[in-house]
Amino acid sequence: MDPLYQENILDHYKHPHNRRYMEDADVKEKGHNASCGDDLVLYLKWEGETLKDISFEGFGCAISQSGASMLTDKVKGMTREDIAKLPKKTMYELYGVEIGAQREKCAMLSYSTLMQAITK
Amino acid sequence: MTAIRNNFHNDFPQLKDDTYHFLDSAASTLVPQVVLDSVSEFYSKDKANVHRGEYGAAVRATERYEKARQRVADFIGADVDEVIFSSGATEASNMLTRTLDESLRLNIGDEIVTTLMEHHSSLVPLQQLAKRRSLTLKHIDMTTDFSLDYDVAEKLITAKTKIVSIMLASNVMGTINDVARIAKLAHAVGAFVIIDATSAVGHIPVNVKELDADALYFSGHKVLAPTGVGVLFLKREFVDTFNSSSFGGHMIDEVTLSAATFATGVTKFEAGTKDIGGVIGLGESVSYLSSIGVANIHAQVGELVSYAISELKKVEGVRVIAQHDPKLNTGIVSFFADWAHPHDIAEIIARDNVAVRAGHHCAMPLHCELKLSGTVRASFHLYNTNSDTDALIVALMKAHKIFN
Repeated sequence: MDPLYQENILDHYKHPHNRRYMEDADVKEKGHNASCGDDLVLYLKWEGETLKDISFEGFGCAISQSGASMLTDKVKGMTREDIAKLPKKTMYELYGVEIGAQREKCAMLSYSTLMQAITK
Repeated sequence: MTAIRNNFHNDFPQLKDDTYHFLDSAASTLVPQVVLDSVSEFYSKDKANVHRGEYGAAVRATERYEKARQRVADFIGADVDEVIFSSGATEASNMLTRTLDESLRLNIGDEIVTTLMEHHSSLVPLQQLAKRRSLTLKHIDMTTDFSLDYDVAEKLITAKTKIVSIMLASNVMGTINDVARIAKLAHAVGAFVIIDATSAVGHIPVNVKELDADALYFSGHKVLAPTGVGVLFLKREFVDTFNSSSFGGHMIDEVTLSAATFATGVTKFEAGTKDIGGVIGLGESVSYLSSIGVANIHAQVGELVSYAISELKKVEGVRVIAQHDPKLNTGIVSFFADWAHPHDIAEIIARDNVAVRAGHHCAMPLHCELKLSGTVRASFHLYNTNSDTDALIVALMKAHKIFN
């Protein structure tokens, strides 16, 4: 087993959850990691202060794309307030492995894009 | 023809570990012991500023610094009073475009012609110049074999063209461009010709006169020298007539409280204290390259390129993004695998001590044209052998296994 490319990461990369265009999104937020060329678009649909639906589209490495899959699973149904309180380490918990400094931007792409999106 | 020495890797202390497969010379080359020794000797015996003191070390430092200038000049077929030291290709490019802004008569609507394979260090300063002066920036396209489209070049270079800026070799595909052909078109309409030789110097013989360059630049750290030093060649007539864009110590003639007059020759363009140790190291590195013969290096690296291309093509889902003719390739083989992102591949193969670069290699417009977010780049130099490619393929197959 590879130290980084664990089964959950590869699973979410090969079979991503919530990877779709959302026509009636309330918020569309773009994220970009210039050093890698990872691209991500998050779509958010709110019902009051609750995140009713979230999806993403994007192209990038296994770390950034699996992260978007896992994070969107996690925050669907949460309130804006609770999402805002999520610490960065949430991502590392989702990955379940330590991610080196070189890949931190990849690991944090969906998280930082989401944190931007919930302010809008 | 100088005989090709075997075992060049013995000259490079970083390759003492023979499990290390360094395939990232296009990002920065390794440094041979002779270069390290020359830099170390400067710092341990002759450390002093240049052109400033009368004492022994200051005199020796100046002599070494100016000897390096002569060696660099000889290496690129320039005259010694046409070689300006900078901190690297990026500073040279920025300095040059600022100087052109100050010195050329540029009018709204004038055109700059460049290519879509340029490195950001060349492209972005030109974009900024175009923006400041309301100039139009035009790009020569590529053909499907990763070469420049010279028919397009002929159409784009017109009486409106004031600057033509071309890279001598692509840092992604290894393609060696026929820069002399483009320079001829440019000079026929009176345009100023800039050549970014960063990916070419040390890989193919570079002669500023044969290329008909008005300006040419490259980085030391890509020609076996330390980081922090680079070269801007400026043709003599422009050294004399252009204004500097950087001011300070050393480059002046006379300074009063309110005004200054400036030094003549290349001194005018070398404000402040340069990376003296780096310059001395660069002088030594070009001397080392000359002793082997750059044409010999190119021939040897060409064999590595052909082998790497043929081995990579055997891997499922791999598309090679490189100039396939080794005579027209400086030593770069980039590729894309349809089963994994370049960064994931680079990370996995690094576990086997295979060093490559993944990403857009500071050529985003080129990758946009290729419709790829990035590539994995294996780049070769004199110290590589086919065993490095073999290690790359073994490691790549491990990545393939993880992702398939």
